[in-house]
This record gives sequence, C-alpha cells and structure tokens, in this order.
Amino acid sequence: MAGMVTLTIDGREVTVPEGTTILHAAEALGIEIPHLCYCPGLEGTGACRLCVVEVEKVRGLVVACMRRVAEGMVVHTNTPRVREARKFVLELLLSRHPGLCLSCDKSGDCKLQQYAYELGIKRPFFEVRDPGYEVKDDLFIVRDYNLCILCGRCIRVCRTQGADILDFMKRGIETRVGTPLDRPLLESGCDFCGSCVSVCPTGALMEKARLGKGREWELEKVPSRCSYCGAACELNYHLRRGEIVKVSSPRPVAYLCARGRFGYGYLQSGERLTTPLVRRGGELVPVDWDEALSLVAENLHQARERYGAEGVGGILSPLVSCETAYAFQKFFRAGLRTNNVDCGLRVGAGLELLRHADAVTGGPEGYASWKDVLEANVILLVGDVCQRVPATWGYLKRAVGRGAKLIYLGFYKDRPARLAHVWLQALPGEEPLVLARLAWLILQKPTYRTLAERVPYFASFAEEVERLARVEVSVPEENLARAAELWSEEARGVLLLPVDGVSPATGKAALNLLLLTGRREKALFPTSAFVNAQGVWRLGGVAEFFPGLRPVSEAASEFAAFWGRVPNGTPGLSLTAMLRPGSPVKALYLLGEDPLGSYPGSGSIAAKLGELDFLVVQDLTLTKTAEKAHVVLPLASLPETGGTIIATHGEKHHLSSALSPRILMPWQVFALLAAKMNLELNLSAQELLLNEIKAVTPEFGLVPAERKLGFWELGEVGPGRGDSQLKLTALAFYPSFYRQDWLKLSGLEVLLPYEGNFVALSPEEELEEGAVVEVSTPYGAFTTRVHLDKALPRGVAAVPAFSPAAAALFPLEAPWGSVPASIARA
Amino acid sequence: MSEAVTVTREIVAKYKGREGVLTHILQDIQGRFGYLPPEAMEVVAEEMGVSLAELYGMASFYARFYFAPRGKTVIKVCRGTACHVRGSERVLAKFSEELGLKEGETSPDLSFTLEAVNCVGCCALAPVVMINEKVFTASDPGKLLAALRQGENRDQDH
Ligand code: SF4
Ligand code: SF4
Ligand code: SF4
Ligand code: FES
Ligand code: FES
Repeated sequence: MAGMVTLTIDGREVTVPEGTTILHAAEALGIEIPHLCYCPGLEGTGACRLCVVEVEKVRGLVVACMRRVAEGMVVHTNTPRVREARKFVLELLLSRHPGLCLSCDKSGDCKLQQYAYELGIKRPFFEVRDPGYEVKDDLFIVRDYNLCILCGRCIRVCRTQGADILDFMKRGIETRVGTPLDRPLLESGCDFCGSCVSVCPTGALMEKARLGKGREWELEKVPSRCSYCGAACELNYHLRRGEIVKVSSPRPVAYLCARGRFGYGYLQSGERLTTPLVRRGGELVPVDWDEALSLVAENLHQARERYGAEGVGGILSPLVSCETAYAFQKFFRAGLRTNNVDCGLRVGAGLELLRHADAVTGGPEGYASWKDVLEANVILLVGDVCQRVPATWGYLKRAVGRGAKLIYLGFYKDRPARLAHVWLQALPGEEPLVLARLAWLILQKPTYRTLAERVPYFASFAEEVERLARVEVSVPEENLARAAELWSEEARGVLLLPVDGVSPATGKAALNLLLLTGRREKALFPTSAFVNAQGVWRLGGVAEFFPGLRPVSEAASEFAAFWGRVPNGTPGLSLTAMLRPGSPVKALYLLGEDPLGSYPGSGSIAAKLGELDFLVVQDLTLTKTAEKAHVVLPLASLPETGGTIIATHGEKHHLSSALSPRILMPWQVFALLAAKMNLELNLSAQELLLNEIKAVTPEFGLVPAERKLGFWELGEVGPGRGDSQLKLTALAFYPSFYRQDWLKLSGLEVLLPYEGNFVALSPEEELEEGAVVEVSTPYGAFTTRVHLDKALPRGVAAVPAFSPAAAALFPLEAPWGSVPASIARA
Repeated sequence: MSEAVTVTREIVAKYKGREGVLTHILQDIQGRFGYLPPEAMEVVAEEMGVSLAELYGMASFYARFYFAPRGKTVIKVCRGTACHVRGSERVLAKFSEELGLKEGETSPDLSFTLEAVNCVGCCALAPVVMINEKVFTASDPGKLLAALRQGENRDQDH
C-alpha cells in the first residue's frame, strides 16, 4: 500500500502510515512504551530517553518517540537491555527528585512514580540531590521545581496553547523552568489555562486548591463539560465528598481556559441561595418553597388575568440546559398562554446573526467544525473571538502552525494580531466598511463577479459595496489587497465570527464575503459566548419560535396537539421590548438572568423593573437584579441539573448531573408552580422533558434551514476614518464573561486589571494609569479607573464587555458597536 | 519613552533582517547599559518575533548576560573544588559580611556586586577571587577589600 509501512513490534506485525513514530506504531498494537518528555498532542523532543527500544540491525538503542518507522523494521520494546537503559534514565531522574511520594499530592497520578514501580526501582541508586528551590505559590497553581524532571512539556504546551511565558532558564546543572526574570505567573501574563499543570508528569506543577484535599484514588471523577462559553469544552470534575477539588481535561493537552479549569468556585460558593426569599416590609426574608411558590403562582395568575397575555413574561439564560429551557418556555407558552419568552442571546445581534448563519450554511449541519478550522487554508477572524471563546486560540495557533493564513480584523493588538498574515486594524465602527472594501476588491476579479452576479440581490449588493468602498478607512491599502487576495485565492476558508459579539452590520458584511466566494458549507464557525445559546434558541427560548424553530404564528395548532392546551398564536415580545420602560409587561420571571448586572442599558432596565407589579428572579445567588425582586428562588446550576446542551458549532452533548444539587431542580419548580395554578403540563422530570423534546423535535431543533440565497444589506454603517471623536467600545478582555459575578465568586476577576473595573486607553492619550475618570456617552456616565493598554490604538477607549461600565455606557439595542464618548478626570 | 527603549530600537534596527543575530543584539544592549534592562528585552522580543520567555531562556543560557545593573567593582568568589578545599566558603562569608551583600546582590549605590562562580581555571592560586576580571588569592579578604576601598578613594581624589 502506498504511504503505508509494515513493521514488527514484539513479534507482532503492524501496518501504519509512513512517518509514524515507533511509539505510535506500538500504541496501535496496544503496547505502551514508557515516555516522559513526549506528551500525546505535543511535538516530541527526545529529551528524556526513557522511551528507548531495540531495533534489529541498529547498533544503539533507538528513541521511540522520535524515530519514524521503516519498512521491515523489527522492534523489541521490552528486552533486558531496554529495561536496564530505562532504569538508568529513571535513576538519574530520581537522583534529582527529592520528593516524598508518601505525602505527595500527585501520588497515584505521577508518571515518575508509575515507571519507578513498573521498572521495579526499590531504592535510589544515586544520592538524591535537593536543589533547594523556593516553592512558587502562584494564583491557582503551585510550582515546586525541586520535583521537576526538565521534561519540557509545560514549556511546549504553553507555547502551543497558552501565553508562551515559560522556557528553560540557565544551563547545565542549573537549568530549570521559569518565567522571564522568574516573575510570578500573574505578572508574566499567564492565562491560567492550567495546560502546564495538566501535562506535567510529576508533582512539580499542581492545582493549588487541590493540595491537601486527598489523593487521586480518594477522588471521584465525574465527566462533564464546561458551563461557561459556547465551546463547551470537555472536562472532569474531581470530587471529594461532593466538593470539587480539581478540574481536569480528558486528555493532557485538551484545552481548558481559566474559566473552565479554575472557575468553578461559583458553583460551591457560600453565596449560593439555598432557600427562597420573599419581600416582606421591604426586606427579603427566607421562606419555604411552598410559600414562595404560592406567592409566585398567585401573582402570575393575577397579572395574566388583569393584563392579558402581554402582561406576563419570562426571560431565560442561554446558560441552562435544553430541558430546563424547554420546560420554562412551555410553562409560559402552554401554561400562561403567552409567547413573551426570550433569552439573553437577543442582546446585541446574536439571535439575528445565528439565523443568518443558518440561512447561509443551510443549518448547523453546514457549520464548520474544529477540524475544519484546523485544516483551513485561510481563516478570517473577526473581533475578540479569542477572549469570548478562549478555546479558539489553541486551534488557531495549531492551524497557523499547519500553514493556514490568518486574516485578523480587529482594532485590538492582541495575540491574533501577532499570528496574522494580514492584520486589518479597523477602528471600532469601521469593520463593516473594511469587509465591504474586501468584497469590492474581490468583485474586481471577473471570475468572482460572474459568480456573484448569479446570487440574488447582486445589483443592490454591488451598489452598496461600491458606495461603501469609497469611504476612507484606517487600514492601509496593501493590507486590504493582501486580505482580499488570500480570502479569494486560498482553497479552504473558514470565518470565525463571534455572532453575539459584533454589530449586525459587521456580521452581515462578513457573511456576504462567504456568499461572494461561494463558501456556504463548512466555512462558517459561529462562536457564541454562552454555553447553550444554540440549544436555548432552538428549543423555544426565543419569542418568535416554538421548539424546533417552528414560527409562532404558524405552529400554534401543531403544538396544541403536543401540549394538550392551545398556545397563543401571537408572537411574543422580545427581551428588548419587554425591558423597555412603558412596555406592557407587568409580571416578569427571570431564570438565571441578571439584567442589571450583565445587560447593557442598565439605566433604562432599572426604570422598567421599577414599573413591574411583580418580579421573580431564580438564580444561583442574590444578584443585583434579585435584590430588587419580590420573590427570589434558588436555581440549580448546569453541572447540577445535567441535561442536553448544544455547543456553539452545533454539536449536541448530553451531560449527566455531575454535582448533587441541594435544592429543587428547575423543572420541579415549574411543575409545582403549574400544579398551584391547576395547569397540567407534565414538567416534573427531566426524563419526561427529554422524551417530549424528542417527540416535538427529534433533531433537537438542529434542523436544516431554508437557504436565503441573496446578499444582505448592511444598512447604516460607521462614519469611517477622519472623525476625531473618541470611540468607546465594549471589548471582551480575557477571561471576561457574561456573568461577571461568576468570575468574582471563583476568584478569576483578579486576572483583569482593577478586577474588571476600568476603561482602557492607549498610553498615547493624556492620562495616567490609575487616574479616576468619568466616562460619558449619549447613554450614560460611569466613573472608573484608567488602564493604559499598549494594544489599543489612539482615539479608542474600551471597557470590559459585560462589566457595570459597559452596562451603563451602551444601549441594550446596540451593545457591540462603538459610541462617541468623552473622558474627563473625576 | 525610556532611553532603554529608544536605544534598543536603534540597535535592533541595525541587525534586523539577518539570521542568528539575537546574541549580538543582547551584547550591544549590555554594552550600552551594563546589563539587559527589562524594557529593552521587551522591545527585542517584540521586534524580533520571539517570546519574552524564549529570549530570557536564551540570554540566561550564557553566563555573560546580566539582568540587573551591576556594581562598578564586581567581586567573584570562586566556588570550585580546589577553592572549596582552601576555604572559599569562608572567603564568601567574609566578603558578604563586609559588603553587607548576599551572593548575587549589588549594593544600592552600584559600587559593588558580589558573585559566586565556578572554577575560573587558576586553581594554583586557590582560594581565588576575581575582581573586575583580575585574579587574586583571597587569603585575607579584609585586606583585599581595604586596598580596593583605598583605590576607590584615590580615584575620587583625582
Ligand atoms: S497556565 Fe497556561 S499560560 Fe500559564 S504558564 Fe501554564 S500553560 Fe502557560
Ligand atoms: S514542571 Fe513538570 S512539565 Fe515542566 S519540565 Fe518540569 S516536570 Fe516537565
Ligand atoms: S473555552 Fe469556553 S467552554 Fe472552554 S473552558 Fe473556556 S469557558 Fe469553558
Ligand atoms: S519520551 Fe521519548 S525521549 Fe522522552
Ligand atoms: S577551583 Fe577555584 S579556580 Fe579552580
């Protein structure tokens, strides 16, 4: 067979692709060759020589993790000579390993220990040397380089998917791993992705919170997924008596960002609500479930009677499971007969752009996968994707490592800017202009023009592009030309678009580029900052669709059959409409959403909340919004409820309940409410809900979408270059997240300057670090601190996305555009 | 912009586009400042497209690069085997006590730096100290220091 090689390992024949290492070939036969410096998923370096094997007709021993197979090779992995050599290597390593397995937290999970056992090393052969290094007590991570065997895995993984802040320092006997000038990790710009801890074969790198909490065999390992962003990375919770003591990734190099790996504190925080609260004499006081739910049932009923379907509404979080979302919307649509149910994905253009995305790709089946990202020839990255969905960073880096050309469109000079072949540094607001300009450049090529002429709305598209291309932008001409060239000429192209983090015009202009170059399938990777945005909107969590994306106005009778109650056939109000002062909503139920804490437009939202007759908030903790509620109900988190989620790129996952909740499950709450209101809704068990979802939409809403064939019109777009007004944007700074309170409860806010309360400015502006300033926009004013950031161009200010500053300074309708702002010393 | 940044930019510009020039760049920077200032290292990493970690890794590989300002007089106490046998430990302790500096430290007024080094290849003279690259037998560190200080005063008189 061409490209295949047959060899014999320990007497068994195996055929593997050319270029395979002996170590991998052995693996294919189920033979594990001991290895320390080699780590699956990282390039080998051949440093430790533990993996040596004997190859017939080769004189010396051969390093199995580096040596490629050859036809007819005969390999022996376990001869006395091999074992002697390995023992020698291990003895040398142990001679500078002053650790004591008896009391080491790594015991049971340590490769050094494992191999020492397997090779039967009873007592150290060489004298053990203790280097006497000081143990480094960093945030989340403890580094004890006395136990380090210099395998270099941490360095390589940090280079591949971390912040690239580690290397070998000094040389010879003094060699050790370190950061520049040996600074603490936080000061060195560490991401706290914990990848280094994950790959370290010894106890040198450990999760701080895990120390002293029991050893590997005492911990219960529960597989789950991260419940922050749409990447929904796979992870394991390691529990001791029900408490999370560490989080690990399924494979050593499988990526988790700081939120996934260290951000679990909010789940077991003392702030978690355990009992309902009701407002009495202005105070929230604890009561039992029965009393609280009676009050909720009574008030919802009254509002429904008095104000009709329009008078009640529910807003749910895109961070809950499909089953929870389904039950919640059913309670409203079938129970209260209102379609006023909507979710946080509505904020900005998330929902609109996801629908457009489906119209381009023909549905989630047509989305690009991580594999498509890795195998792309050209990648167009828009905005702050890597901060919103940090898992993208490792994939991008690997893709570029494999030869992909990266085009980065964004004003912020962060890592993608360094990795990019072309950096299109558009100022905030200029993005759609730059994208339109690329379209114009591509249209100059006759082949593309002919192709595009066949796409509906070509005439208006060409005209709009023609007009917008004339507006001057800050990106140099040659960069535009280069990007247009790459995007049109390279074979496989993938667009990474943060659907819920760009303005609608930017999103549409980017999608137009896909259409223009005929890239419909496997070319769009939509990223959402919310773990189950895809599941929630597809299962009835947005006003205009019943589960399965059935339009409300068409599907009422269909759902009457499923639900045994005729739902309302009038489309409901969107979240933006519900939260607008003067809206008809008088009783509002917020499930896992904290509009006062995480939505833009907090000023007008507060005014609307003040108008309500009744507000019930169900959440993990007493949030800013909950403090204003009439009734507060505890909410079980996603790791507690388990259930189905759909990741940002359309992959469906079923999670078991990883943590035991000490409170009612959300659907149990809705079931009790329904019972109190004499509604038969069948909400009492997750199993029931799952079966019902399967009956209603067997595809879980992952249905093919009707292809909208034409180009999108961009509408109003920014003024372009030359306007001297300071532009303010909300930018995701790693590890910014929608629920800032989760970061805070998990101790992650310290990764942000001033714990996330700042306005970032270029050092070229006339203000100094830490200055207290008042930032004003047409939507509000906010007092905060200046953080000087070299990555920002002059004339641009940024506040962290989802921060109180962003909430005060941007409108609910348009949070991701740029607004004119002024900054003055406070 | 600090002087280190401006100067480093000039130095880097001289070498840019050529292969294998990192050590030359670092050497030039050290030539200017006597050590490698952190701001300078950041400029080099950025302009040369290497990570700061890799740059420090490389620089620290060579014993001749320094990461903190050094004193006008650099005292290196040999800790090689021969010198060890001839009491280098005591020599180091004595210097340390006299100067009020620990091994590797520089006095705040930048007059002295105290270092311990491996065999400097003059074992016959053990216990050896190198003072600004000149080799001495340190049988009496106190006397050496006194001579040094005197020399310094004389320098100032002129
Ligand atoms: S936590 Fe991540 S970024 Fe920090 S040192 Fe480890 S691998 Fe590098
Ligand atoms: S710290 Fe761990 S991963 Fe890094 S070199 Fe040492 S032993 Fe290897
Ligand atoms: S990238 Fe997203 S899903 Fe993955 S660990 Fe981070 S927050 Fe969780
Ligand atoms: S695992 Fe092969 S040399 Fe280390
Ligand atoms: S041991 Fe000191 S000079 Fe050789």
